[in-house]
Formats: sequence, C-alpha cells, structure tokens
Amino acid sequence: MNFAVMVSGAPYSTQACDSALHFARAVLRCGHSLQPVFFYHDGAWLASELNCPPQDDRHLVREWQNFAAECGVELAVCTASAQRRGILDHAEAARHGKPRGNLAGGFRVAGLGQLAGAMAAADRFVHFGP
Amino acid sequence: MNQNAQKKIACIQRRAPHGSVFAAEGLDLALVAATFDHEVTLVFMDDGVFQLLKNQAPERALGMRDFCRALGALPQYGCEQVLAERESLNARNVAAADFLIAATVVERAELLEVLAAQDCVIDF
Repeated sequence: MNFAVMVSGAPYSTQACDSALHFARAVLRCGHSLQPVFFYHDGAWLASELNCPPQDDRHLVREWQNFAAECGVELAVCTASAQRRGILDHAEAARHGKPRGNLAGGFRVAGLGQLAGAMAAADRFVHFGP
Repeated sequence: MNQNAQKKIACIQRRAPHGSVFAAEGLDLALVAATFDHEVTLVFMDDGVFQLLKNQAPERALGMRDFCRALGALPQYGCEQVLAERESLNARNVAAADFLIAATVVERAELLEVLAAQDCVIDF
C-alpha cells in the first residue's frame, strides 16, 4: 500500500514532526511504500537548516534527513508556506534578493499541486497536525 | 482508495479567520485540491464558521489580507460542496443570512455521515 503523509505542525512546538517520523518508519517497516512526505503550514519550519536545538535534545531536521537518505523518501516542503516563514532555497533567495537560501539539505520545495498529485496516487493519506 | 484517482476530500475549517494563518492556508489547500480534480467538500465548523461572514474588513481593521474573498471563487475552482455545521452556527449566533457565499447548513450527525464517506479528511 502506498502512503502519503502531510505534516502541518511545527517542530518542537508540537509533536507532529516526531509522530510523523515514527509513523513513516513504521510504514516502511511493515513493507508499505511512502511517497512523499509533504511539509505544509507550520510543518515547513522543519525545513530550515538553521534549526539548532539544544545538544541534549533530539535534532529533528537531522533525523528526518537521515531517514530520507536511508529510505529514499522524498521530503517536499510547500514553497508558499516556507517562503512566508523565511525558508527559501538558493534559487528563491536569489529571486527575492536575499543573500542566500536556508533550505535544509534533503528537502525540496514544491507546490500544493504536488500534494494534490500525491493524494491522488496514495492509497492512504495521513495528516499530522498541531 | 483507488490508485491515481480523484479522491473525495473533506477540508474542515475550524478556526477563526484572521487570528492565525490556519484558515488561509487551509483554504489554499482546499482550492488547489479542487483544481486538481479532487472532489472537495469544504466544511466550516467550530470557530471556522466565522470565515463565512460577509462584510469583513481585515485589511482596514487588522492590516491583514482578506483571504475570505477567495471563497467567492470556489465554483471556479471546482469546489461546489460547501457545508456549515448548525451546532457551531447556533453556539456563535451566526445566521446563514450573513454568509458571504452559499453554504448548506447541516446537523452534526449528518456531517459525520459526510465525513465517513471521504477518502481524506484534513482539518485546519
């Protein structure tokens, strides 16, 4: 079965990014497929490479990056949600006259249309909200 | 759910329109899903029913963008099913006569049946 996941809760402020990661691991462990994970609304905060949690806390960005790299899962972040929150890839930063982008490695900006397409292709769509 | 198929998606708007970006980003998602040929049912309940009120002036009063104007374009986006929960309206003294757009007022029990028939339910 193919799952698509949307995360709309902010990292650390809410449990959404943690729960979604646990769920995503479980989906693959059970032999299902997962494509993509879409970060929307406050979930877009996860895609900033400037996240610096205290050293004795979990590093959610790094955990998601490692998961995506190991499992080949795409991490898509809504470009409108991200830009509104000051998270841009290098091309967007150049377009907006910003010195540089700050999109974390392993994440890719995408439009809501890609989410709509993922919902069409998925057998199950699971939303982790705040 | 069927593979690569149009899905039945309920987008539930549950928050007041202008105090946060929940409502605006929730509506964006609903509009894009409808544009991509999903069968979208837009549901207003809890404080979300305030999004339906006409004569709002968030630009003047709050300096905020009036995203509720986009509600008027719902049919052009292919979203024709708009529901408002009666219990939420009654609790907030909101009348259908004050709606910016046409919405069908449904009881909570009826709404539950609608939601049970969806492939996806997304709340904002």
